[in-house]
Amino acid sequence: MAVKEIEILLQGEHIPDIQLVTLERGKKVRDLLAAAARHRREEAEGDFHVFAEDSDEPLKDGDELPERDDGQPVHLHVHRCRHIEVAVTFNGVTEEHRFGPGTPIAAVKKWAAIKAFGMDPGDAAEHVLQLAGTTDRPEPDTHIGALATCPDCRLAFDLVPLKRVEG
Amino acid sequence: MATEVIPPDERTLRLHLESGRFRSAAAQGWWRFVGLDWPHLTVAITARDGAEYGFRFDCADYPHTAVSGRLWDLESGAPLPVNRWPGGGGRLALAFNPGWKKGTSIYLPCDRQAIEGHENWRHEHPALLWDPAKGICKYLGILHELLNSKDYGGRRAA
Repeated sequence: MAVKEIEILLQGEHIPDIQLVTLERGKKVRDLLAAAARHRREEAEGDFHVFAEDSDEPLKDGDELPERDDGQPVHLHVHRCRHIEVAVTFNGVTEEHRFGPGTPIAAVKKWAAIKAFGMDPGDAAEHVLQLAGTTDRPEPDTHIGALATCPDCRLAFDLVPLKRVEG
Repeated sequence: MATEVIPPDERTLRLHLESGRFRSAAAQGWWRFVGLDWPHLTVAITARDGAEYGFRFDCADYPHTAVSGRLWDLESGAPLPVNRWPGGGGRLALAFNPGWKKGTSIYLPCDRQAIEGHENWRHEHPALLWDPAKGICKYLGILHELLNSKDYGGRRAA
């Protein structure tokens, strides 16, 4: 029997952490926008957009919600910012790049460590992104848009080495 | 008919296991729920080479008190023999140290047993401390990162 519902792992502006949202199969992007509004911690005006994970372009309101072939829940993101301007500082050098708000921290870290600062994958794995001026290190599956609020569509990170835990 | 009352600590843990954060990592194959026999939670975490390591956590007084984790044999339901522990160097070898508390605890600031007597870790490793709001997902994320780090060198006996 066909499954009648789909599960969505939802992140976005004013939405705490990652929310598991269940909708009937065949629902549209606009239905997810309505569901997302119920998960926001505070009122926010303006046009929200739905992004597939890692995508720069929003889905169209009338599109059917995407699903994964393996039956796992799909990662989607709802935000007013069309892009997030990201600045990453390492060893006193800052590199900047523009990402879609549904881009995971892991993808931004990979861009920064390997592409921007020339590390090999092994050394990249020994570094993490830390929000500038804090000790907060968002989890690799956190979408960067979840950390930014429109109209301030930008984030600043430090790329920091992982330290040994010794007595 | 008697109604089973789930204690608050178990109820909170069950909520965290059903959360989007836990499901997100599971959907990406980072970890999978194995079982909950209160107060013990068992989770399997996938390493860089695809090997899966079982962990058993004592979750009493969750999430106010940090959990304590140990490597666990998912087949026999017993502590994992040391020759099947994750091997490697650097950060990983320090965390998975069979000499520490006879292997009953992972040597990390987020672990209830390990943090005892290590007050210096609170300012040296703030990002690795137990966080009641994030709970078990944070601890699992730290273990997953270690098992997918450059320091991980495969299973000891492999």
